[in-house]
Amino acid sequence: MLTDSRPSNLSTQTTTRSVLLMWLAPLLICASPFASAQWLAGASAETLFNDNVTRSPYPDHALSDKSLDVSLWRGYHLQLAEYTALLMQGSLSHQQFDHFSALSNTRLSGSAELSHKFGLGANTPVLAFTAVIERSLFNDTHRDQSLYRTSVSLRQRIQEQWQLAITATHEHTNGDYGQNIPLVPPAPPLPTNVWDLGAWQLAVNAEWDIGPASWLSATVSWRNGDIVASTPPYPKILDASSAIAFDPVFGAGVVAYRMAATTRSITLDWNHAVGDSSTLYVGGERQWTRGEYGLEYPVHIIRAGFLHNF
Amino acid sequence: MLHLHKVSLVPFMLCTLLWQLTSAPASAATLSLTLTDQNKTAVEDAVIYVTTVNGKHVAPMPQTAIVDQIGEMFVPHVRAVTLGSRVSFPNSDPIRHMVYSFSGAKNFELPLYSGAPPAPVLFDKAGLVTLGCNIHDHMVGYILVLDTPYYAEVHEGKATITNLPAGQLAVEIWHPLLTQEQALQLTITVSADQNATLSQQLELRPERKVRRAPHRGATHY
Repeated sequence: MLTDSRPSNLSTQTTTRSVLLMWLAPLLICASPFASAQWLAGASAETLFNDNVTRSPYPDHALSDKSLDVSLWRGYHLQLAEYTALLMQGSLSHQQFDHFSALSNTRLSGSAELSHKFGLGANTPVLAFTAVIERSLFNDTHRDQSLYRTSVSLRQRIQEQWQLAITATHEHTNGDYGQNIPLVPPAPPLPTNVWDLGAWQLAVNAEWDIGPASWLSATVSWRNGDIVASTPPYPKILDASSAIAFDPVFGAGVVAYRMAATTRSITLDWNHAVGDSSTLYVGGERQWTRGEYGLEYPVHIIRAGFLHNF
Repeated sequence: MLHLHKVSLVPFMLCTLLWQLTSAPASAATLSLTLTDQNKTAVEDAVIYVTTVNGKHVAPMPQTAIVDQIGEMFVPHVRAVTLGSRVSFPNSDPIRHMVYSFSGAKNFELPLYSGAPPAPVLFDKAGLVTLGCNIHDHMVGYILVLDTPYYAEVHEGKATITNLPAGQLAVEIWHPLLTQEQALQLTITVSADQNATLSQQLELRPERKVRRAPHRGATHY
């Protein structure tokens, strides 16, 4: 018999409190003796096409969809010392899927970045430690989850025309669905906590100026950790999974399963500054994921977006 | 006479008058510049200056000047000062700035500050000084330190140099976005009391825009 042994309500309350605290922290610090801090705010909208929202290894079951993601964020930049700064941000986002509306979600996130610049000048390297907590609520409530991410990055402008950043990230996701998720009668004794994920990622990003207002951004990343895919329950998948549950979002009999995998991805974006406060961008991403038994999970994403800093 | 009486009370003003008596011509000329770029747009933030008069160098007097910081920008974007001048850098933003320069003409750093400026900075070497803020890397400004008393900053495509001596003038026009490395060099001749006019066009590079990196959320795996 499959069981879901995780306590869910406690986790939800803890995460919500943590996110709210990260939103309130800037207000508390604002009233402190720190001087000359800076409020930041922005909004963005992004339309995205994903050719494999199911992350299926089988082309016949790879379902595509497009979505619109709008986001509002507020930040607080605090220069702690001459070379050290703290940036705290909170954001509220909503992603609306066109066909699979059950995947539509609202996210509340808080982040804190402590950065240190190793000296004077625009070409000086910057080391940054970042912590993010994000709470996501889906129309398909089984997918509700809390994300915890910590990362360390080193970035440097090499010349005026290009800069480089390398980032190592660890993230952990807690799904908080309750007892009502349908179980899989013939499945092996696997837990149903499909959306409990952990992963490490290393990413290298480069930005090239291609004009006075335009630049290219390319990111290559390696991710080692859990993924979730949704397909019919083929025996090979049942063997490779570490958790499994029905996933009615993609049809009757479809299961969502978690497995360890490695993902390589390449992202390429063209960005164009509009005025002094906005950016328009268009880009794409290719993910190559390889799981147990040589299962391959190809994903292609095309996106275009606009962001504005108030 | 009244003017001379006032000067005698202030040594600094006496020096100024002495300089004016020795360098200012009896019948001064004026040079008015109209400056556009390749798109016929009036140019902002250029500097026109006279390097020699009849082949001779004329020493300038030091001044005091201000480069403010407003809205995360150096204001003015380009400031021309004479050799030996002192420039103060007030911060009118509600946030702190950290002004610095690595330029050969002046290497300096002002610690993180807000509001009232630290002590003015002495610019005792002629040349171009590029300013930056270590907190806001997109902030860039320029101070052009000139070894001449004859210069003017160009605003909305117009500038006027007054009190010019008659003769042959070696003139240069500089802008931070000039496509060529050197300032534009011209030779013009002005006669006493002449109001000379000069129309010039510069080839400028497009200005680099401030980058706002996309704020991207998590990728759900």
